[in-house]
Amino acid sequence: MNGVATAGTASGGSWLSRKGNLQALGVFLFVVAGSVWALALDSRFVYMLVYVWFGLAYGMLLQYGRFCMASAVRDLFAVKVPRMAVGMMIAVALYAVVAAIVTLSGFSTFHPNAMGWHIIVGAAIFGFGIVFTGGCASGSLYKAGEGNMNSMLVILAISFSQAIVVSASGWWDALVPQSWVTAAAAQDMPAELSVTKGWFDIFTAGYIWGLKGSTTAEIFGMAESAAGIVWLNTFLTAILPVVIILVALYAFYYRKGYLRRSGKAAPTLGDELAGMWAMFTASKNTALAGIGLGILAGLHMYVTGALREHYGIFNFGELLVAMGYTNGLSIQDTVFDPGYWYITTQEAQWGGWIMQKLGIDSMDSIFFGLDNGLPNPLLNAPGFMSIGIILGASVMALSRREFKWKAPTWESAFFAIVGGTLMGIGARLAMGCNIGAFFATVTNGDPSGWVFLFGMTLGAFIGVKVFTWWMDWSAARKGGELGL
Amino acid sequence: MVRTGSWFDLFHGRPVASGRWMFRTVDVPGLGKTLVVRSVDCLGAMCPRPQLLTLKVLGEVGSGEVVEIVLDNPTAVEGFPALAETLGCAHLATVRDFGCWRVYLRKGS
Repeated sequence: MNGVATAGTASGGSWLSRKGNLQALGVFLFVVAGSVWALALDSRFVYMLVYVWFGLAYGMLLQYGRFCMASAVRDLFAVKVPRMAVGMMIAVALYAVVAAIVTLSGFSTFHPNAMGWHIIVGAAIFGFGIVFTGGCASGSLYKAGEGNMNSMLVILAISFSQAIVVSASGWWDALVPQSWVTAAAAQDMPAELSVTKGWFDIFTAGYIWGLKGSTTAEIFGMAESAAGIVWLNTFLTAILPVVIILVALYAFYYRKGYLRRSGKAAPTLGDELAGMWAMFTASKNTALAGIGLGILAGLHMYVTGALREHYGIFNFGELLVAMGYTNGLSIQDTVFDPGYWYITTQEAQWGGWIMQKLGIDSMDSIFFGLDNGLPNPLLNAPGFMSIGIILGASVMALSRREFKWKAPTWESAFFAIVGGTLMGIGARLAMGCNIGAFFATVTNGDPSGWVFLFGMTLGAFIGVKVFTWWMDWSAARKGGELGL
Repeated sequence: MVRTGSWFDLFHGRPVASGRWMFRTVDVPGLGKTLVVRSVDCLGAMCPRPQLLTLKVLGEVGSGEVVEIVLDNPTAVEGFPALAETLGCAHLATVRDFGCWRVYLRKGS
Protein backbone atom coordinates (compact mmCIF):
# COMPACT_ATOMS: atom_id res chain seq x y z
CA MET A 1 0.00 0.00 0.00
CA ASN A 2 1.18 3.49 -0.71
CA GLY A 3 2.21 5.76 2.11
CA VAL A 4 1.71 3.46 5.07
CA ALA A 5 3.74 4.37 8.10
CA THR A 6 4.54 1.84 10.77
CA ALA A 7 4.03 2.49 14.44
CA GLY A 8 5.29 0.43 17.30
CA THR A 9 6.26 -2.67 15.36
CA ALA A 10 9.60 -4.39 15.39
CA SER A 11 11.76 -4.14 12.33
CA GLY A 12 15.13 -5.50 11.36
CA GLY A 13 16.39 -9.07 11.66
CA SER A 14 16.32 -11.68 8.93
CA TRP A 15 13.21 -12.45 6.93
CA LEU A 16 12.74 -15.79 8.66
CA SER A 17 13.03 -14.33 12.15
CA ARG A 18 9.53 -12.91 11.83
CA LYS A 19 6.80 -15.20 13.06
CA GLY A 20 4.40 -14.32 10.24
CA ASN A 21 6.95 -15.15 7.57
CA LEU A 22 7.68 -18.50 9.19
CA GLN A 23 3.98 -19.30 9.32
CA ALA A 24 3.57 -18.23 5.68
CA LEU A 25 6.44 -20.49 4.74
CA GLY A 26 4.80 -23.28 6.74
CA VAL A 27 1.54 -22.95 4.79
CA PHE A 28 3.47 -22.87 1.53
CA LEU A 29 5.48 -25.98 2.42
CA PHE A 30 2.24 -27.72 3.42
CA VAL A 31 0.95 -27.20 -0.13
CA VAL A 32 4.27 -28.38 -1.57
CA ALA A 33 4.20 -31.51 0.62
CA GLY A 34 0.58 -32.22 -0.32
CA SER A 35 1.44 -31.85 -4.00
CA VAL A 36 4.40 -34.21 -3.73
CA TRP A 37 2.23 -36.75 -1.88
CA ALA A 38 -0.45 -36.58 -4.58
CA LEU A 39 2.10 -37.03 -7.36
CA ALA A 40 3.64 -39.95 -5.50
CA LEU A 41 0.20 -41.59 -5.41
CA ASP A 42 -0.36 -41.08 -9.13
CA SER A 43 1.38 -38.71 -11.51
CA ARG A 44 -1.97 -38.00 -13.20
CA PHE A 45 -2.96 -35.97 -10.14
CA VAL A 46 -0.94 -33.23 -11.80
CA TYR A 47 -4.26 -32.31 -13.46
CA MET A 48 -5.71 -31.54 -10.03
CA LEU A 49 -2.54 -29.81 -8.86
CA VAL A 50 -2.88 -27.29 -11.68
CA TYR A 51 -6.07 -26.13 -9.96
CA VAL A 52 -4.32 -26.10 -6.58
CA TRP A 53 -1.41 -23.94 -7.71
CA PHE A 54 -3.43 -21.56 -9.83
CA GLY A 55 -5.77 -21.22 -6.83
CA LEU A 56 -2.79 -20.46 -4.63
CA ALA A 57 -1.60 -17.78 -7.04
CA TYR A 58 -5.11 -16.30 -7.33
CA GLY A 59 -5.34 -16.16 -3.54
CA MET A 60 -1.97 -14.45 -3.21
CA LEU A 61 -2.83 -11.86 -5.83
CA LEU A 62 -6.34 -11.25 -4.50
CA GLN A 63 -4.92 -10.60 -1.05
CA TYR A 64 -2.03 -8.54 -2.40
CA GLY A 65 -4.35 -6.25 -4.33
CA ARG A 66 -7.18 -6.39 -1.75
CA PHE A 67 -9.04 -7.32 -4.88
CA CYS A 68 -12.64 -7.19 -3.71
CA MET A 69 -14.98 -7.57 -6.65
CA ALA A 70 -17.98 -7.01 -4.38
CA SER A 71 -16.74 -3.51 -3.74
CA ALA A 72 -16.36 -2.97 -7.49
CA VAL A 73 -20.12 -2.57 -7.81
CA ARG A 74 -21.04 -1.76 -4.20
CA ASP A 75 -18.66 1.16 -3.68
CA LEU A 76 -19.98 2.95 -6.74
CA PHE A 77 -23.23 3.41 -4.84
CA ALA A 78 -22.18 3.22 -1.20
CA VAL A 79 -19.34 5.75 -1.31
CA LYS A 80 -18.96 6.65 -5.00
CA VAL A 81 -15.44 5.25 -5.21
CA PRO A 82 -14.45 3.58 -8.53
CA ARG A 83 -11.14 2.04 -7.36
CA MET A 84 -12.14 -1.61 -7.54
CA ALA A 85 -14.36 -1.24 -10.59
CA VAL A 86 -11.25 0.04 -12.37
CA GLY A 87 -9.16 -2.87 -11.05
CA MET A 88 -11.76 -5.36 -12.23
CA MET A 89 -11.90 -3.82 -15.71
CA ILE A 90 -8.09 -3.99 -15.99
CA ALA A 91 -8.28 -7.69 -15.12
CA VAL A 92 -11.04 -8.26 -17.70
CA ALA A 93 -8.99 -6.60 -20.46
CA LEU A 94 -5.87 -8.63 -19.67
CA TYR A 95 -7.76 -11.91 -19.34
CA ALA A 96 -9.47 -11.24 -22.68
CA VAL A 97 -6.16 -10.75 -24.45
CA VAL A 98 -4.65 -13.94 -23.00
CA ALA A 99 -7.91 -15.82 -23.63
CA ALA A 100 -7.71 -14.84 -27.31
CA ILE A 101 -4.21 -16.31 -27.54
CA VAL A 102 -5.36 -19.49 -25.77
CA THR A 103 -8.38 -19.84 -28.07
CA LEU A 104 -6.25 -19.24 -31.17
CA SER A 105 -3.84 -21.93 -30.02
CA GLY A 106 -6.75 -24.37 -29.73
CA PHE A 107 -6.56 -24.97 -25.96
CA SER A 108 -9.63 -23.06 -24.82
CA THR A 109 -11.75 -24.88 -22.26
CA PHE A 110 -14.51 -22.29 -22.37
CA HIS A 111 -18.24 -23.00 -22.80
CA PRO A 112 -20.68 -20.10 -23.18
CA ASN A 113 -23.58 -19.67 -20.77
CA ALA A 114 -27.23 -19.78 -21.80
CA MET A 115 -28.57 -16.27 -22.33
CA GLY A 116 -31.87 -15.44 -20.66
CA TRP A 117 -33.77 -13.57 -17.96
CA HIS A 118 -32.48 -15.95 -15.32
CA ILE A 119 -29.10 -14.22 -15.48
CA ILE A 120 -30.47 -10.82 -14.47
CA VAL A 121 -32.68 -12.27 -11.72
CA GLY A 122 -29.91 -14.51 -10.30
CA ALA A 123 -27.22 -11.85 -10.60
CA ALA A 124 -29.44 -9.29 -8.84
CA ILE A 125 -30.03 -11.68 -5.93
CA PHE A 126 -26.28 -12.38 -5.85
CA GLY A 127 -25.46 -8.65 -5.99
CA PHE A 128 -27.89 -7.91 -3.17
CA GLY A 129 -26.27 -10.62 -1.05
CA ILE A 130 -22.68 -9.40 -1.48
CA VAL A 131 -23.47 -6.06 0.15
CA PHE A 132 -24.31 -7.89 3.38
CA THR A 133 -21.50 -10.43 3.34
CA GLY A 134 -18.72 -7.92 2.69
CA GLY A 135 -17.33 -9.90 -0.23
CA CYS A 136 -18.19 -11.93 -3.32
CA ALA A 137 -17.51 -15.66 -3.56
CA SER A 138 -13.79 -15.24 -4.35
CA GLY A 139 -13.54 -12.33 -1.93
CA SER A 140 -14.94 -14.47 0.86
CA LEU A 141 -12.33 -17.13 0.12
CA TYR A 142 -9.39 -14.76 0.30
CA LYS A 143 -10.80 -12.97 3.34
CA ALA A 144 -11.20 -16.35 5.04
CA GLY A 145 -7.48 -16.76 4.33
CA GLU A 146 -6.89 -13.52 6.23
CA GLY A 147 -8.55 -15.08 9.28
CA ASN A 148 -11.98 -13.53 8.80
CA MET A 149 -14.53 -15.90 10.35
CA ASN A 150 -17.44 -13.96 8.85
CA SER A 151 -16.16 -14.92 5.43
CA MET A 152 -15.87 -18.55 6.52
CA LEU A 153 -19.55 -18.43 7.47
CA VAL A 154 -20.32 -16.94 4.06
CA ILE A 155 -18.56 -19.86 2.35
CA LEU A 156 -20.58 -22.33 4.42
CA ALA A 157 -23.81 -20.52 3.56
CA ILE A 158 -22.97 -20.42 -0.17
CA SER A 159 -22.11 -24.12 -0.15
CA PHE A 160 -25.22 -25.40 1.59
CA SER A 161 -27.71 -22.98 0.05
CA GLN A 162 -26.62 -24.03 -3.43
CA ALA A 163 -26.75 -27.71 -2.59
CA ILE A 164 -30.26 -27.27 -1.21
CA VAL A 165 -31.45 -25.09 -4.11
CA VAL A 166 -30.37 -27.56 -6.80
CA SER A 167 -31.85 -30.60 -5.11
CA ALA A 168 -34.99 -29.32 -3.35
CA SER A 169 -38.41 -30.51 -4.43
CA GLY A 170 -41.88 -30.61 -2.86
CA TRP A 171 -43.35 -27.14 -2.36
CA TRP A 172 -40.40 -25.59 -4.22
CA ASP A 173 -41.77 -27.10 -7.42
CA ALA A 174 -44.68 -24.66 -7.29
CA LEU A 175 -42.13 -21.91 -8.10
CA VAL A 176 -41.82 -22.99 -11.72
CA PRO A 177 -44.51 -22.76 -14.43
CA GLN A 178 -46.25 -25.87 -15.78
CA SER A 179 -44.89 -25.16 -19.27
CA TRP A 180 -41.36 -25.82 -17.98
CA VAL A 181 -42.52 -29.12 -16.46
CA THR A 182 -43.95 -30.12 -19.85
CA ALA A 183 -40.77 -29.07 -21.65
CA ALA A 184 -38.64 -30.95 -19.10
CA ALA A 185 -40.75 -34.10 -19.50
CA ALA A 186 -40.19 -33.93 -23.26
CA GLN A 187 -36.42 -34.18 -22.75
CA ASP A 188 -35.05 -37.63 -23.31
CA MET A 189 -33.50 -38.08 -19.88
CA PRO A 190 -32.88 -41.20 -17.79
CA ALA A 191 -35.68 -41.92 -15.31
CA GLU A 192 -33.24 -41.94 -12.37
CA LEU A 193 -32.80 -38.18 -12.76
CA SER A 194 -36.55 -37.57 -12.32
CA VAL A 195 -36.32 -34.30 -14.25
CA THR A 196 -39.94 -33.38 -13.64
CA LYS A 197 -39.39 -33.44 -9.88
CA GLY A 198 -37.31 -30.80 -8.18
CA TRP A 199 -37.74 -27.17 -9.19
CA PHE A 200 -34.12 -26.71 -10.26
CA ASP A 201 -34.25 -29.78 -12.50
CA ILE A 202 -37.41 -28.43 -14.12
CA PHE A 203 -35.77 -24.99 -14.44
CA THR A 204 -32.70 -26.57 -16.06
CA ALA A 205 -34.37 -29.08 -18.38
CA GLY A 206 -37.54 -27.09 -19.10
CA TYR A 207 -36.05 -23.61 -19.44
CA ILE A 208 -32.24 -23.39 -19.59
CA TRP A 209 -31.84 -26.19 -22.16
CA GLY A 210 -34.23 -24.34 -24.45
CA LEU A 211 -31.98 -21.27 -24.45
CA LYS A 212 -28.99 -20.56 -26.60
CA GLY A 213 -25.56 -19.72 -25.33
CA SER A 214 -22.95 -18.53 -27.75
CA THR A 215 -19.92 -16.34 -28.10
CA THR A 216 -20.22 -13.31 -30.33
CA ALA A 217 -18.07 -15.03 -32.96
CA GLU A 218 -20.45 -18.02 -32.92
CA ILE A 219 -23.47 -15.73 -33.36
CA PHE A 220 -21.87 -14.38 -36.55
CA GLY A 221 -20.67 -17.82 -37.65
CA MET A 222 -17.02 -16.86 -37.29
CA ALA A 223 -16.04 -19.03 -34.30
CA GLU A 224 -13.45 -20.89 -36.33
CA SER A 225 -11.75 -17.86 -37.82
CA ALA A 226 -8.97 -15.86 -36.19
CA ALA A 227 -10.72 -12.63 -37.19
CA GLY A 228 -13.89 -13.74 -35.40
CA ILE A 229 -12.00 -14.66 -32.24
CA VAL A 230 -9.89 -11.50 -32.14
CA TRP A 231 -12.33 -8.88 -33.37
CA LEU A 232 -15.71 -10.20 -32.29
CA ASN A 233 -14.89 -12.10 -29.10
CA THR A 234 -11.95 -10.15 -27.73
CA PHE A 235 -12.32 -6.64 -29.08
CA LEU A 236 -16.08 -6.20 -29.47
CA THR A 237 -17.24 -8.29 -26.49
CA ALA A 238 -14.50 -7.55 -23.96
CA ILE A 239 -12.10 -4.70 -24.77
CA LEU A 240 -14.57 -2.18 -26.21
CA PRO A 241 -17.07 -2.47 -23.32
CA VAL A 242 -14.15 -2.22 -20.87
CA VAL A 243 -12.97 1.01 -22.51
CA ILE A 244 -16.52 2.43 -22.48
CA ILE A 245 -16.96 1.51 -18.80
CA LEU A 246 -13.56 2.97 -17.86
CA VAL A 247 -14.37 6.24 -19.65
CA ALA A 248 -17.77 6.32 -17.92
CA LEU A 249 -16.18 5.64 -14.51
CA TYR A 250 -13.72 8.46 -15.14
CA ALA A 251 -16.43 10.87 -16.30
CA PHE A 252 -18.91 10.14 -13.53
CA TYR A 253 -16.74 9.27 -10.55
CA TYR A 254 -13.21 10.57 -10.96
CA ARG A 255 -12.95 13.52 -13.36
CA LYS A 256 -14.44 16.29 -11.21
CA GLY A 257 -12.28 15.54 -8.18
CA TYR A 258 -9.16 15.05 -10.29
CA LEU A 259 -9.54 18.35 -12.13
CA ARG A 260 -10.23 20.16 -8.86
CA ARG A 261 -7.15 18.65 -7.19
CA SER A 262 -4.91 19.37 -10.14
CA GLY A 263 -6.28 22.89 -10.59
CA LYS A 264 -7.23 22.47 -14.25
CA ALA A 265 -10.12 24.79 -15.09
CA ALA A 266 -10.05 24.19 -18.86
CA PRO A 267 -8.72 20.63 -19.30
CA THR A 268 -7.16 19.57 -22.58
CA LEU A 269 -7.38 16.04 -23.95
CA GLY A 270 -3.93 15.45 -22.49
CA ASP A 271 -5.19 16.46 -19.05
CA GLU A 272 -8.13 14.07 -19.40
CA LEU A 273 -5.80 11.22 -20.35
CA ALA A 274 -3.53 12.07 -17.43
CA GLY A 275 -6.64 11.96 -15.22
CA MET A 276 -7.55 8.52 -16.51
CA TRP A 277 -4.02 7.34 -15.88
CA ALA A 278 -4.23 8.71 -12.33
CA MET A 279 -7.47 6.75 -11.87
CA PHE A 280 -5.78 3.52 -13.07
CA THR A 281 -2.81 3.99 -10.77
CA ALA A 282 -4.72 5.36 -7.76
CA SER A 283 -4.12 2.01 -6.09
CA LYS A 284 -1.03 0.38 -7.54
CA ASN A 285 -1.56 -2.86 -5.61
CA THR A 286 -5.03 -3.27 -7.07
CA ALA A 287 -3.90 -2.43 -10.61
CA LEU A 288 -0.97 -4.85 -10.38
CA ALA A 289 -3.22 -7.59 -9.01
CA GLY A 290 -5.66 -6.93 -11.85
CA ILE A 291 -2.91 -7.36 -14.42
CA GLY A 292 -1.59 -10.51 -12.71
CA LEU A 293 -5.03 -12.09 -12.25
CA GLY A 294 -5.99 -11.38 -15.86
CA ILE A 295 -2.86 -13.03 -17.23
CA LEU A 296 -3.00 -15.99 -14.81
CA ALA A 297 -6.68 -16.68 -15.48
CA GLY A 298 -5.91 -16.96 -19.20
CA LEU A 299 -2.84 -19.13 -18.61
CA HIS A 300 -4.91 -21.41 -16.39
CA MET A 301 -7.15 -22.27 -19.36
CA TYR A 302 -4.09 -22.91 -21.49
CA VAL A 303 -2.45 -25.29 -19.02
CA THR A 304 -5.64 -27.28 -18.36
CA GLY A 305 -6.39 -27.39 -22.10
CA ALA A 306 -2.87 -28.67 -22.83
CA LEU A 307 -3.18 -31.33 -20.10
CA ARG A 308 -6.52 -32.51 -21.51
CA GLU A 309 -4.84 -32.84 -24.88
CA HIS A 310 -1.95 -34.72 -23.28
CA TYR A 311 -4.19 -37.22 -21.51
CA GLY A 312 -6.73 -37.37 -24.37
CA ILE A 313 -9.66 -36.43 -22.12
CA PHE A 314 -12.47 -33.89 -22.08
CA ASN A 315 -13.17 -34.05 -18.37
CA PHE A 316 -11.32 -34.89 -15.15
CA GLY A 317 -13.90 -37.65 -14.55
CA GLU A 318 -12.29 -39.75 -17.29
CA LEU A 319 -8.94 -39.43 -15.53
CA LEU A 320 -10.52 -40.34 -12.18
CA VAL A 321 -12.02 -43.50 -13.73
CA ALA A 322 -8.64 -44.38 -15.23
CA MET A 323 -7.05 -43.96 -11.80
CA GLY A 324 -9.70 -46.19 -10.26
CA TYR A 325 -11.80 -43.59 -8.45
CA THR A 326 -15.39 -44.07 -9.53
CA ASN A 327 -17.32 -42.78 -6.54
CA GLY A 328 -19.21 -39.54 -6.86
CA LEU A 329 -19.08 -39.30 -10.64
CA SER A 330 -22.15 -38.19 -12.59
CA ILE A 331 -24.03 -40.74 -14.71
CA GLN A 332 -21.91 -39.54 -17.65
CA ASP A 333 -18.78 -40.33 -15.62
CA THR A 334 -17.99 -36.63 -15.39
CA VAL A 335 -17.24 -34.26 -12.54
CA PHE A 336 -17.23 -30.49 -12.43
CA ASP A 337 -14.10 -29.45 -14.28
CA PRO A 338 -14.38 -26.02 -15.91
CA GLY A 339 -10.70 -25.70 -16.72
CA TYR A 340 -10.66 -22.08 -15.66
CA TRP A 341 -11.27 -19.86 -12.64
CA TYR A 342 -14.60 -20.77 -11.13
CA ILE A 343 -15.91 -20.63 -7.57
CA THR A 344 -19.47 -21.48 -6.78
CA THR A 345 -20.15 -24.90 -8.28
CA GLN A 346 -17.39 -26.64 -6.34
CA GLU A 347 -18.70 -25.06 -3.15
CA ALA A 348 -22.14 -26.47 -3.97
CA GLN A 349 -20.43 -29.86 -4.30
CA TRP A 350 -18.90 -29.52 -0.84
CA GLY A 351 -22.35 -28.80 0.60
CA GLY A 352 -23.95 -31.59 -1.42
CA TRP A 353 -21.27 -34.10 -0.42
CA ILE A 354 -21.67 -33.34 3.28
CA MET A 355 -25.47 -33.59 2.96
CA GLN A 356 -25.05 -36.93 1.19
CA LYS A 357 -22.93 -38.19 4.09
CA LEU A 358 -25.71 -37.06 6.43
CA GLY A 359 -28.18 -39.16 4.44
CA ILE A 360 -29.66 -36.53 2.12
CA ASP A 361 -28.79 -37.75 -1.35
CA SER A 362 -29.09 -35.32 -4.24
CA MET A 363 -27.61 -37.41 -7.03
CA ASP A 364 -31.04 -37.56 -8.70
CA SER A 365 -30.64 -33.89 -9.58
CA ILE A 366 -29.43 -32.75 -12.99
CA PHE A 367 -26.89 -30.45 -11.38
CA PHE A 368 -25.08 -33.19 -9.48
CA GLY A 369 -26.34 -36.42 -11.02
CA LEU A 370 -26.02 -35.53 -14.71
CA ASP A 371 -23.46 -32.74 -14.85
CA ASN A 372 -21.13 -32.17 -11.95
CA GLY A 373 -21.11 -35.28 -9.77
CA LEU A 374 -20.51 -35.27 -6.04
CA PRO A 375 -16.88 -36.28 -5.67
CA ASN A 376 -15.10 -36.65 -2.37
CA PRO A 377 -13.63 -33.21 -1.55
CA LEU A 378 -10.19 -34.86 -1.64
CA LEU A 379 -10.77 -35.61 -5.33
CA ASN A 380 -12.58 -32.39 -6.20
CA ALA A 381 -10.17 -30.58 -8.52
CA PRO A 382 -11.88 -27.16 -8.67
CA GLY A 383 -12.58 -27.53 -4.94
CA PHE A 384 -8.83 -27.52 -4.46
CA MET A 385 -8.67 -24.28 -6.42
CA SER A 386 -10.92 -22.72 -3.77
CA ILE A 387 -8.79 -24.18 -0.98
CA GLY A 388 -5.74 -22.90 -2.87
CA ILE A 389 -7.22 -19.39 -2.83
CA ILE A 390 -7.70 -19.56 0.94
CA LEU A 391 -4.16 -20.86 1.51
CA GLY A 392 -2.59 -18.46 -0.99
CA ALA A 393 -4.31 -15.54 0.71
CA SER A 394 -3.10 -16.71 4.10
CA VAL A 395 0.49 -17.05 2.83
CA MET A 396 0.33 -13.45 1.61
CA ALA A 397 -1.52 -12.14 4.67
CA LEU A 398 0.83 -13.88 7.12
CA SER A 399 3.94 -12.58 5.39
CA ARG A 400 2.51 -9.05 5.33
CA ARG A 401 1.45 -9.27 8.98
CA GLU A 402 -2.17 -8.83 7.97
CA PHE A 403 -3.49 -12.17 9.19
CA LYS A 404 -5.84 -11.77 12.13
CA TRP A 405 -8.56 -14.02 13.48
CA LYS A 406 -11.70 -11.91 13.39
CA ALA A 407 -14.75 -13.29 15.16
CA PRO A 408 -18.19 -12.33 13.92
CA THR A 409 -20.73 -10.41 15.95
CA TRP A 410 -24.25 -11.78 16.09
CA GLU A 411 -25.28 -9.19 13.55
CA SER A 412 -22.45 -9.86 11.10
CA ALA A 413 -22.95 -13.62 11.47
CA PHE A 414 -26.62 -13.16 10.61
CA PHE A 415 -25.69 -11.04 7.59
CA ALA A 416 -23.08 -13.59 6.53
CA ILE A 417 -25.57 -16.46 6.63
CA VAL A 418 -28.47 -14.63 5.01
CA GLY A 419 -26.25 -12.84 2.49
CA GLY A 420 -24.32 -16.02 1.72
CA THR A 421 -27.56 -17.93 1.21
CA LEU A 422 -28.80 -15.27 -1.22
CA MET A 423 -25.46 -15.42 -3.04
CA GLY A 424 -25.83 -19.20 -3.34
CA ILE A 425 -29.38 -18.94 -4.69
CA GLY A 426 -28.42 -16.14 -7.07
CA ALA A 427 -25.32 -17.93 -8.34
CA ARG A 428 -27.30 -21.05 -9.18
CA LEU A 429 -30.09 -19.18 -10.95
CA ALA A 430 -27.57 -17.18 -12.97
CA MET A 431 -25.41 -20.27 -13.58
CA GLY A 432 -22.36 -18.86 -11.83
CA CYS A 433 -21.01 -15.97 -9.80
CA ASN A 434 -19.12 -12.86 -10.78
CA ILE A 435 -16.17 -15.08 -11.72
CA GLY A 436 -17.81 -17.94 -13.63
CA ALA A 437 -20.74 -16.00 -15.05
CA PHE A 438 -19.03 -12.66 -15.64
CA PHE A 439 -15.23 -12.61 -15.50
CA ALA A 440 -14.66 -15.88 -17.35
CA THR A 441 -17.47 -15.27 -19.87
CA VAL A 442 -17.02 -11.75 -21.25
CA THR A 443 -13.29 -12.35 -21.57
CA ASN A 444 -14.00 -15.37 -23.78
CA GLY A 445 -16.40 -13.50 -26.02
CA ASP A 446 -19.68 -14.51 -24.35
CA PRO A 447 -21.81 -11.36 -23.95
CA SER A 448 -24.03 -13.00 -21.27
CA GLY A 449 -21.43 -11.92 -18.71
CA TRP A 450 -22.31 -8.27 -19.22
CA VAL A 451 -25.94 -9.15 -18.50
CA PHE A 452 -24.70 -10.73 -15.25
CA LEU A 453 -22.73 -7.58 -14.36
CA PHE A 454 -25.81 -5.45 -15.04
CA GLY A 455 -27.95 -7.65 -12.78
CA MET A 456 -25.29 -7.75 -10.06
CA THR A 457 -24.98 -3.96 -10.17
CA LEU A 458 -28.74 -3.61 -9.88
CA GLY A 459 -28.80 -5.96 -6.88
CA ALA A 460 -25.89 -4.16 -5.23
CA PHE A 461 -27.66 -0.82 -5.70
CA ILE A 462 -30.74 -2.09 -3.87
CA GLY A 463 -28.51 -3.84 -1.30
CA VAL A 464 -26.68 -0.60 -0.48
CA LYS A 465 -30.02 1.20 0.01
CA VAL A 466 -31.23 -1.52 2.41
CA PHE A 467 -27.88 -1.70 4.24
CA THR A 468 -27.77 2.10 4.72
CA TRP A 469 -31.33 2.07 5.94
CA TRP A 470 -30.44 -0.70 8.42
CA MET A 471 -27.46 1.25 9.75
CA ASP A 472 -29.55 4.41 10.20
CA TRP A 473 -32.34 2.47 11.84
CA SER A 474 -30.07 0.63 14.25
CA ALA A 475 -28.23 3.89 15.08
CA ALA A 476 -31.52 5.65 15.79
CA ARG A 477 -32.64 2.75 17.96
CA LYS A 478 -29.52 3.16 20.06
CA GLY A 479 -30.22 6.83 20.64
CA GLY A 480 -27.85 8.35 18.13
CA GLU A 481 -24.89 6.03 18.77
CA LEU A 482 -23.24 5.26 15.47
CA GLY A 483 -23.54 1.76 14.14
CA LEU A 484 -23.86 -1.26 16.38
CA MET B 1 -17.94 -1.77 28.88
CA VAL B 2 -16.65 -4.50 31.17
CA ARG B 3 -14.85 -7.29 29.36
CA THR B 4 -15.08 -10.63 31.10
CA GLY B 5 -12.92 -12.27 28.48
CA SER B 6 -15.30 -15.12 27.86
CA TRP B 7 -15.69 -16.68 24.43
CA PHE B 8 -19.20 -15.32 24.26
CA ASP B 9 -17.84 -11.81 24.60
CA LEU B 10 -16.02 -12.23 21.36
CA PHE B 11 -19.38 -12.30 19.70
CA HIS B 12 -21.32 -9.97 21.88
CA GLY B 13 -19.10 -7.99 24.18
CA ARG B 14 -18.16 -4.94 22.21
CA PRO B 15 -19.80 -2.72 19.68
CA VAL B 16 -18.42 -3.18 16.19
CA ALA B 17 -17.79 0.23 14.75
CA SER B 18 -18.61 3.29 16.76
CA GLY B 19 -17.56 6.89 16.42
CA ARG B 20 -16.76 8.70 19.63
CA TRP B 21 -15.58 12.24 20.22
CA MET B 22 -12.07 12.35 21.60
CA PHE B 23 -10.07 15.57 21.05
CA ARG B 24 -6.68 13.91 21.36
CA THR B 25 -3.37 15.13 20.02
CA VAL B 26 -1.74 12.48 17.86
CA ASP B 27 1.68 12.47 16.23
CA VAL B 28 0.71 11.89 12.60
CA PRO B 29 3.71 10.87 10.43
CA GLY B 30 4.73 13.61 8.04
CA LEU B 31 2.50 16.13 9.78
CA GLY B 32 3.52 16.21 13.44
CA LYS B 33 1.25 16.82 16.39
CA THR B 34 -2.32 16.98 15.17
CA LEU B 35 -5.57 17.42 17.04
CA VAL B 36 -7.87 14.51 16.24
CA VAL B 37 -11.47 15.36 17.08
CA ARG B 38 -13.03 12.00 16.52
CA SER B 39 -12.04 8.35 16.32
CA VAL B 40 -14.08 5.76 14.45
CA ASP B 41 -13.58 2.25 15.80
CA CYS B 42 -14.15 -0.19 12.92
CA LEU B 43 -12.29 -3.19 14.37
CA GLY B 44 -13.92 -6.36 13.15
CA ALA B 45 -16.30 -4.53 10.84
CA MET B 46 -16.99 -5.81 7.34
CA CYS B 47 -17.29 -3.49 4.35
CA PRO B 48 -19.16 -1.25 3.64
CA ARG B 49 -19.69 -0.36 7.32
CA PRO B 50 -16.30 1.36 7.85
CA GLN B 51 -16.79 3.49 4.76
CA LEU B 52 -20.38 4.42 5.61
CA LEU B 53 -19.49 5.26 9.22
CA THR B 54 -16.64 7.46 8.03
CA LEU B 55 -19.07 9.26 5.77
CA LYS B 56 -21.38 9.90 8.72
CA VAL B 57 -18.62 11.02 11.06
CA LEU B 58 -17.15 13.38 8.48
CA GLY B 59 -20.60 14.87 8.11
CA GLU B 60 -20.59 15.72 11.80
CA VAL B 61 -17.17 17.38 12.15
CA GLY B 62 -16.15 20.82 10.93
CA SER B 63 -14.02 21.71 7.91
CA GLY B 64 -10.31 21.26 8.51
CA GLU B 65 -10.84 18.94 11.47
CA VAL B 66 -9.04 15.60 11.59
CA VAL B 67 -10.69 12.25 12.24
CA GLU B 68 -9.07 8.90 12.91
CA ILE B 69 -10.44 5.60 11.61
CA VAL B 70 -9.19 2.41 13.30
CA LEU B 71 -9.48 -0.62 11.02
CA ASP B 72 -8.37 -4.23 10.83
CA ASN B 73 -9.90 -4.99 7.44
CA PRO B 74 -7.07 -4.81 4.84
CA THR B 75 -9.47 -4.37 1.93
CA ALA B 76 -11.12 -1.37 3.56
CA VAL B 77 -7.73 0.18 4.42
CA GLU B 78 -6.68 -0.08 0.79
CA GLY B 79 -9.70 1.92 -0.31
CA PHE B 80 -9.40 4.84 2.09
CA PRO B 81 -7.08 7.08 0.02
CA ALA B 82 -9.54 6.75 -2.89
CA LEU B 83 -12.46 7.37 -0.54
CA ALA B 84 -10.77 10.52 0.78
CA GLU B 85 -10.35 11.81 -2.77
CA THR B 86 -14.01 11.26 -3.51
CA LEU B 87 -15.08 13.01 -0.33
CA GLY B 88 -12.77 15.97 -0.95
CA CYS B 89 -10.79 15.12 2.19
CA ALA B 90 -7.06 15.04 2.63
CA HIS B 91 -5.71 11.57 3.39
CA LEU B 92 -3.03 12.54 5.90
CA ALA B 93 -1.62 9.13 6.76
CA THR B 94 -2.26 5.45 7.23
CA VAL B 95 -0.36 4.18 10.26
CA ARG B 96 0.27 0.51 10.86
CA ASP B 97 -0.30 -0.36 14.51
CA PHE B 98 -0.53 -3.65 16.41
CA GLY B 99 -3.27 -5.68 14.70
CA CYS B 100 -4.83 -2.64 13.07
CA TRP B 101 -4.35 0.43 10.95
CA ARG B 102 -5.10 4.03 11.89
CA VAL B 103 -6.20 6.20 8.99
CA TYR B 104 -6.15 9.99 9.42
CA LEU B 105 -8.37 12.16 7.26
CA ARG B 106 -8.77 15.95 7.30
CA LYS B 107 -12.17 17.16 6.24
CA GLY B 108 -12.04 19.50 3.25
CA SER B 109 -13.84 22.80 2.94
